[in-house]
Amino acid sequence: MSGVTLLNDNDFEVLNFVFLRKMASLSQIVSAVERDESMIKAAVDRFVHEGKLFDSDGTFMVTEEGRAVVVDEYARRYAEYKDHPFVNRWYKRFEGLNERFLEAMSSWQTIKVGNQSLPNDHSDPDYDNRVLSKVETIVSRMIERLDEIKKFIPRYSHYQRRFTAALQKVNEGSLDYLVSPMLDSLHNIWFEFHEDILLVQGIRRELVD
Amino acid sequence: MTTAASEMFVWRFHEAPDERVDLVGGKGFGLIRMTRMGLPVPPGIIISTQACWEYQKNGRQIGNDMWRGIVGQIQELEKEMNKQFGNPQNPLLLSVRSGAPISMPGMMDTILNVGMTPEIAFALARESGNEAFGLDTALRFIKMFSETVLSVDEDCLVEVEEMAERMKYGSLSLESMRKLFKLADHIVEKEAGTNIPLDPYDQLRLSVGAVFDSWFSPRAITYRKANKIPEEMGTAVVIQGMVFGNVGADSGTGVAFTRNPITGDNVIYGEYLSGAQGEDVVAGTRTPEPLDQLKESMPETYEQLVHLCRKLESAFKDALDIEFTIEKGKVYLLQVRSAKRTPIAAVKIAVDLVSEGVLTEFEGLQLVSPSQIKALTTTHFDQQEKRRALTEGRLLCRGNPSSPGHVAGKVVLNADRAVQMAKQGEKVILVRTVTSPTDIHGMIAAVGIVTAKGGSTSHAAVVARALPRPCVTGCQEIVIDEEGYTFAVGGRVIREGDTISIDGDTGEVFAGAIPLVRDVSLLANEIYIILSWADRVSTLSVGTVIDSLDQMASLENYGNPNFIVCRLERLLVNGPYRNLLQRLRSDGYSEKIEQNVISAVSDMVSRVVQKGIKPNVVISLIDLQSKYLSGLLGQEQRVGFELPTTLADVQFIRAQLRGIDAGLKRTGNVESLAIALPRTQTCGEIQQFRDIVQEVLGGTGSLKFGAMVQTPYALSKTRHLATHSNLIILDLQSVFEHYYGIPIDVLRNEEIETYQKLGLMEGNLVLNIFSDLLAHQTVLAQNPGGCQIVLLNDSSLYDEVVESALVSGIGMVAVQLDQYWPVKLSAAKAVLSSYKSV
Repeated sequence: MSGVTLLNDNDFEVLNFVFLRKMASLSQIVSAVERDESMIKAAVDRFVHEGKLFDSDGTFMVTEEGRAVVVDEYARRYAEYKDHPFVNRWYKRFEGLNERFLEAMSSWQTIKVGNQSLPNDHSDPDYDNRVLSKVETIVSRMIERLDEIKKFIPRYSHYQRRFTAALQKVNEGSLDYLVSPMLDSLHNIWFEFHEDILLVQGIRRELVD
Repeated sequence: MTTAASEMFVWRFHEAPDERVDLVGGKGFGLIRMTRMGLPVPPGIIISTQACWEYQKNGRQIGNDMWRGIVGQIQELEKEMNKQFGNPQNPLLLSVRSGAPISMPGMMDTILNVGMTPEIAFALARESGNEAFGLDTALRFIKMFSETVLSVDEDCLVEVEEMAERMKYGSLSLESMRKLFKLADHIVEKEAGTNIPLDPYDQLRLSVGAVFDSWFSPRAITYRKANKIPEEMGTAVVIQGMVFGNVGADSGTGVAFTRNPITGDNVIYGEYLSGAQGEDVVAGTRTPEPLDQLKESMPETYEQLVHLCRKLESAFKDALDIEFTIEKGKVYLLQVRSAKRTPIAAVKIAVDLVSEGVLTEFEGLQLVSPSQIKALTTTHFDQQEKRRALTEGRLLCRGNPSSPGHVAGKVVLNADRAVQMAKQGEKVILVRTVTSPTDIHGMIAAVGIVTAKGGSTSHAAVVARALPRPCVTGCQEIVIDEEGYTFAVGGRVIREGDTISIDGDTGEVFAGAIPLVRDVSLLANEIYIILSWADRVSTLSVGTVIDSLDQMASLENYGNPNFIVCRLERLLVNGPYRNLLQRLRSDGYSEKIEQNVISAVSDMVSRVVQKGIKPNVVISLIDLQSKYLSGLLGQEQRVGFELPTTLADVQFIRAQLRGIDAGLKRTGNVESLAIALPRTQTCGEIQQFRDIVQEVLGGTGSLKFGAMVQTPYALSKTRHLATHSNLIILDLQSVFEHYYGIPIDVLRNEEIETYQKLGLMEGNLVLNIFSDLLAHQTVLAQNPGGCQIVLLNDSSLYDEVVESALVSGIGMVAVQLDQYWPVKLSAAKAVLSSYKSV
C-alpha cells in the first residue's frame, strides 16, 4: 500500500477536514469544505471505497491508511513553507495570538479567587462581558490575519468563514459557541486550525503545547 | 444649547444625582454612593448617559459646549486634588472608563494615566527617585491608549515594551523618554494611520469619544438587540484622578477581600505590593506579599484598611473584594465589588454575617446560590483513603490542576480505545502526551484526562473544563510508550487498563482507585442553618426521590426530608432483583412467580419504611414499561399486543400489594405510607385500584392511595382524579416528553435557550404545560377533598420547576437527592423575590 498517492485540492481538503475533525457527517463536510457538493460527495465515496475513510452509519472517520495519506500530503504540499520567511513569521505571530486566545477561553471558564481558580458561575456580568470583548477582539484579529496567509494557503478561507459564523452565534447570545467541544465552536475551530498550521510548518505539537 | 445646560451633563462625584443609575451608570453609581458615605475614593467626574446621545446627534463629535463643561470640571478636580493636568511639576493623571447602566460586552475598558507626556513621565521618574515607576506609568498609558482608543493590536507594541525594558538598565533622560513615545507613535501611525497626541486634553477628548463610540460598537448593538436593551440608554463616562502607589515605601497597592474567599473565615485576606501601581497586582508582573506583611510594616495603615472593610460590609451587606492604593500612608479605594468566593466560603460567610447581626436571615439567603449548595454535595475522594494512598506511596506525580473534580478510572492511552472501552461501560481516564483535535471524542468518552505536557490554559484543559471532566495537565514525569501500551512515571510502569485516580483540584495522580464519597459533614451545620432560614420562608414542601437502598442509607446526611417517593421498579432493579424484573418484562407476570414478587416487594418496602424514621413514604407500583428500566435493561422483548395501563393485570397488582402488606407488618409502621398506581389515566382506574388496595390491605385508616399522572391526558383530568385520590403524583419528565415531544433535559441546552430568546418558544415551558392543561382549574391550589399534589422531578432543572410549582399552587415537590438542598434554597429565594416584586 505504500507509494505516494497524490491528491488534488478538492480531495485533500475533504480528507483533511475529516482527519482534523476525527468524525464528520457528509453535511458537516459539505458545509466546511468550500468545494462543489457533487465533487465532495464523489471524493467521500471514493475514499470509502479505497479504504481511506471508514463509514460508520453516515459518520466518516479517517483510517490508518487515510491518515498516512494526509500526513504525506502536508509534507508534499507545504514543504516550501517550512522555511519560508513570511509563513514562519506569520506562524510566530499566531503563537502569540494563540496564547491570548487560550487565556481568554480559560478566563471564560474559570475565575480567580485569591490564589485558587474556581469554575466561572457567570454571576458577574461585568467580568463576563470583559472576557467576551477580549475574545471578539482576538478572533477578529485572527480573521484579519488569515487574509495575509491565504495567499499561500487559499483553503484557509474556510476557517475565516467558520470563525465568523461562530462569532456571530456568540454575539447573538449562544455562548456555547465559545468552547463547546460538541459544536463548531470558536475553540474547536481554533484547535483544528492550530493542528493544521502545525502540520503545515512541520512542527510536532509536543514541542509547543 | 447654553453652557449652563451643558454643565448638567457633567458632575463631580459629590454633586452628582444619586438614585439615578440611568444617568450616571453602574460604576458611577457605586462611586457616588461611596463618596457620599465619606469613603476614601479618589475624586472624579461623571459624564452622563445623556451626553452619549448628544455626542451621537453631533455626528460622533464632542460638541464645544460639552467639552467646555468637561474642561470646567477637570479644573475643579485639579483644585480638589491640588494637582495640575499636564503640568510636569505636579501632574494630575486620569483614568477614563465606560459606565453603562447595564453591563454589556463591547464597551470600552479602562485607560489609565491619561494626561501622560514624555516630560511628565521623566519628571515622575526623577522626583520619585524611581525610574522604573516613571517608565511603567508611561508604558501603561501608551499601551492602553493605543489598544483601546486607537485599536492597535497589543502584539504590535512588543518593540515598545522591549525598549522600555532596556531603558530600565540605562540612565534615563528626557531624550530617551521622548524616543520611547516616538517609537510608539511610529508604530501606531503604521498600524492605525493616526497618532498618540501629546497634548493631555487631546488625549482626554479622544478617550471620552472612545467610550461613547464603544456604545455604538457592533458587538454592543448586537447584544442590546438580543437582550432588548434600548439604544437610547447610552453610557456614562467615569473620569477619576489617579493616585499612586509607586511614590515611595509608604505607598503601594493591593487587593483585599473583607473575608477569606477560600475558607470564608472572618479575617481580611489579600495581597499587597509596596511601591507599585494597581495594575501590577492584577497583571501579576511582580509577586505580591500577603496582607499580613502590611500589618507589620504599616500597622496604622493596616488598621485603616480593616476599619474600611467593616464599614463597607455593613453598607453593602456582603463580603467584598477591594482594590486599593496607598499613597503616602493614606488608603484609597479604587474598586469595590461583591467578592468571588468558593461554595464553602459562600455558606460560611452567609451564616457568619447573619450571626454577627450584619444581615437578616432573609438577606443571608441572598448570599448563597442553589448551585453553590449543589457544589458542596458532589462526590469527592474519601480523605482518609487519600491519606492512605499518600502514605502507601501511591502518588505517581503532581501536574497542573486544570479542571476540578475527583475521579478514578482505567488508563487508556489512545482516544479511539477510550471510546471503545467506554462503550463497554468502563470508566476510563485518557492519558496523552498532548491532545489534538482528533482526541476530543476520546476526552468526551473518558471520565478524566491527564496530559504530560501543557498547562492549565492548554487546549486539553479548555476542552476538559467545557465538558466538564476532571483534568490534570503538565505531568512532566509521565513518559508514554504508545506501542507498549504503558506509561512510565517516577520509576514505575502503569499499563493500559490499570486503575488510576486523579484529583483535578490539586493536580495529584495516584495509582489505584481512591473511593469516592458524598460527605458534607464539613459544613453540614452551616448548611442546616441556611436551610432552616429557607424553611421559614418557603411555602413548598420538598421531598426526595429514592431510587436505591444506597440513596436511602445516605438520606440522613441530607437532614431527613419531609417525604420520599420510591418507585418500586427502580428499587428492585438497583437492588438484588434485577433478574426478577427481567423475567417480568420478557414473560409477563404469572402465578408461578407470585411468591418471588411478594418477597421482593416486602423486602424493599421493609427497608424504606423504617420504624422511627420521619419521612412519609410514597411507593409507586412496578411500571414495567418505564424508560428508566429500558435504559438499564434494554427495550422490552415481549411480543404481541398489550394494554399500556397497569390495571390490565390485576393479579400482578395484588401480588405487589401483598408484598407491601408483608413489608409493613415486618416494620410495624403503617402510619405514613401512600401507594400510587403508575400510568393512571381515568377515574375508573383509580376507583378500582382503591377497591383492590382495601381488599388486600384492609381498611387501614391512615393508608393513602393515589394516581401517578404521566400523560398530558391524565394531567388534564387531574381535577377528577383528585376527587377519588388522597394523592396525585405528577411525573414531570414523562408529561413533558409526551406534551412537547422532546426530553425535558433538552431545556438545559443552549440551542433551546437561543430558540427561546428568538421568541420561537416562549416562557417557562414547564409552567406552560400546567397553564395549558389546567387552565382555570384552581384544583391544584385547592386540594379538593384533601388530595395532595406532588410534582415529581427527575430532571436537572430546578428553577423552572420551583417556579411552576409555586405559580400553580402545587405544595409538594420531589427531586433527586443531590438536588434536595438546591431546590429548598431555590424555593425560598423564589418566595422572597415574589415578596419584593409585590
